[in-house]
Amino acid sequence: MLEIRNLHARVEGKEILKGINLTVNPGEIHAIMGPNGSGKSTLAGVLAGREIYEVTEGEVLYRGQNLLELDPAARACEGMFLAFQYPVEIPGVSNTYFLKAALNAVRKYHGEEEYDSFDFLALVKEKMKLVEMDPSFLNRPVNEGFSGGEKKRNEILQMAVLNPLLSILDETDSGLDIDALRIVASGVNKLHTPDNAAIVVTHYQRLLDYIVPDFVHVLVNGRIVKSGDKDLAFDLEAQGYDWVKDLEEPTAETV
Amino acid sequence: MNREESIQTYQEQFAAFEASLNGGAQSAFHAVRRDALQRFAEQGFPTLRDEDWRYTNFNPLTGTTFTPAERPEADAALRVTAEALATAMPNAPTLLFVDGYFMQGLSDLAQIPEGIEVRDLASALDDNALPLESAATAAATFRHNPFTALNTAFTRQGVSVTVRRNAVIEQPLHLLFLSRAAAGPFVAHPRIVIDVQENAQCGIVEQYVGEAGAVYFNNVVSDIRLGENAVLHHVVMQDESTAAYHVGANYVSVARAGNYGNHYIGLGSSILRNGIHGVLSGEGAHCTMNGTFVPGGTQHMDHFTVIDHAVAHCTSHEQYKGVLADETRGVFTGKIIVRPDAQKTDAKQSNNNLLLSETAQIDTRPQLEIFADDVKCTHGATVGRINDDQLFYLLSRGIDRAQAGNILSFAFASDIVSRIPIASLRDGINDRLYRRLEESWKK
Ligand SMILES: Nc1ncnc2c1ncn2[C@@H]1O[C@H](COP(=O)(O)OP(=O)(O)OP(=O)(O)O)[C@@H](O)[C@H]1O
Ligand SMILES: [Mg+2]
Repeated sequence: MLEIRNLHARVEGKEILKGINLTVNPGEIHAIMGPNGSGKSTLAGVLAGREIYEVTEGEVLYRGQNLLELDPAARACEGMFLAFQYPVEIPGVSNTYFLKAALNAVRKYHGEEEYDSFDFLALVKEKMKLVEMDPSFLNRPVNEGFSGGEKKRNEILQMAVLNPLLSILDETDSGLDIDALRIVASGVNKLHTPDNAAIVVTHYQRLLDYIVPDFVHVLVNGRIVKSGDKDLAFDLEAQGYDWVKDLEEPTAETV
Repeated sequence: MNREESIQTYQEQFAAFEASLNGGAQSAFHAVRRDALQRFAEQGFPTLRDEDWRYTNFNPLTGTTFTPAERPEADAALRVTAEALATAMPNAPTLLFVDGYFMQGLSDLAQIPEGIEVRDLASALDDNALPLESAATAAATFRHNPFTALNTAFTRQGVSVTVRRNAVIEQPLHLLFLSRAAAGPFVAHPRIVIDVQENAQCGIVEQYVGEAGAVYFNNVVSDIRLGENAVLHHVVMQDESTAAYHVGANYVSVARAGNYGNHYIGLGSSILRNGIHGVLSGEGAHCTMNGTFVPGGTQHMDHFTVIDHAVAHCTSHEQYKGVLADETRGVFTGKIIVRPDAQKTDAKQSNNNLLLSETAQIDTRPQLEIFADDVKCTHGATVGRINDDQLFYLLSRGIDRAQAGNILSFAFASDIVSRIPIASLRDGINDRLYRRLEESWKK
């Protein structure tokens, strides 16, 4: 589904990603962990097509196409979804309007009929149950005045509505209390199928009790320095990042 | 044609106009017209050297010969044409004006609610039935505004609307001005006289539409008076042809505890100059001046507002929002005068602008003239661009750049529409605003 080869990227002239290799197959869940500033969000941003990041080397294949050639909207229409670490507030645009515009944009891209307001509302109300969100959030401006946890749930609601093939969840667990974490994680699990895949960026092993990854990667200073199974997360939780920081090259076969 | 020649043209038109008046030239108001013409001839059109006019170049307007249109036949098809171009104003009886002429036979005169009196201005003037205050206002105001002087010299077409004491009118009144391409280049000087008496409440929507490509000069003046405790919601939907010139001047006085709100939606015309001069003349009076303007192409839109706090304990709120695309230019002047006796004045003003291109330009100037000491006056102006984080958020959900940009600029501008107190008008106006903005983003 996704193949990242020797990806280098910079922001404002500073190299942040220094040769990322990563392969994600349908049905897999990959966790990415790593210290603050190591480049996790940068990787997510590059994949989603954020223009401030300049790719200087390497390539990314997504479902057989050169991902880097697609504009951000086309990437989303092709099934890629980024749950933002810091969801953006959009005053003056209601959540319903935004969700409907997004869903219909994707449907239009695939030559499918657009939803009318009635059918859309039925769909979104169904999806809201998945993240236990109150329908009153539909009429509020996108993320404006939402608490940290509400914003994260709203990201997963969008994911549920758009039904992506590849989801990148950037610290969706940060700022969630234990109940919210359980709700969000169970939402993500319910959306997971053998045909789609997820990359989950997190600082906490705790999340991985709920969303069980097939692989765990450690990103340090712009490189994946170690990959393993879910037990790697426990090692990191227990020992911190110091013991992997010095690893120059990946020690395990990069998957 | 240079400026002198254009003045001469209007003087010649006045001679013909005067001759056509027959008995009307004997009316009391005709002396005011003559005085106004004299004044206009002395002043001429404003130039960039006039402080209040310095950001708007009227050469394209003064360089074109506009002549009054013929009065159209009262054909029901005109109403159909007008409504096809206009934004629907639900539940609002329509008074139709075509090429500057009040078409009573095509208007919903029978549906005017009880408590409102509508009169054809021409006959009201000929019969000396115009409220004297209006004539006095006219005489006083044209001293400072050559366009108002010109309108006053030619004042005949228009309407006088009186809302009777204590009348509370739910249905807004819709004044729809259609300008046709075949009649151009024509000039019209419509005059709207609105008198909302003590304790009365109503809404009035002025809407201007023109056929695509129509060239004309709409020189409109409104004289608006609110009695004690009166309320007027005044909505202006300016959706003229983009080849037209529109100059508006609104003179408003608000008595004790009165509440005047002006809600201006500026979409059309090649050059727009809209002036609102509001005087809060009785304690406890309030005025709101909100507006949004969304020029595209090479449109030029100049908003000049004055709020005069003449007495104590009055409040005013003003917010103008511009979304400027392409090679457009916008101007906002917000003058707030607080007279020495106007203690406890509370005045808030803001002007926020969104530039969609590198070549769009906005000049914004707050002008506070405060002569009292115990007052609260705040003002702020911002000029910004589309927020990249917000844009990327929408893109990342599959919404393409044009639609995403449009969603964000619409959210910015429609804030003004959401404050129109007549809820039934908002959806239609929002739809039109959205489609207009879409044109700016399609390119
Ligand atoms: N717009 C920007 N301008 C300048 N530097 C940036 C920008 N965005 C990111 N960086 C820098 O790039 C580096 C990587 O940032 P990134 O957000 O990818 O880290 P992260 O691994 O997601 O960290 P965290 O765990 O704190 O979220 C940091 O040093 C950060 O300061
Ligand atoms: Mg991050």
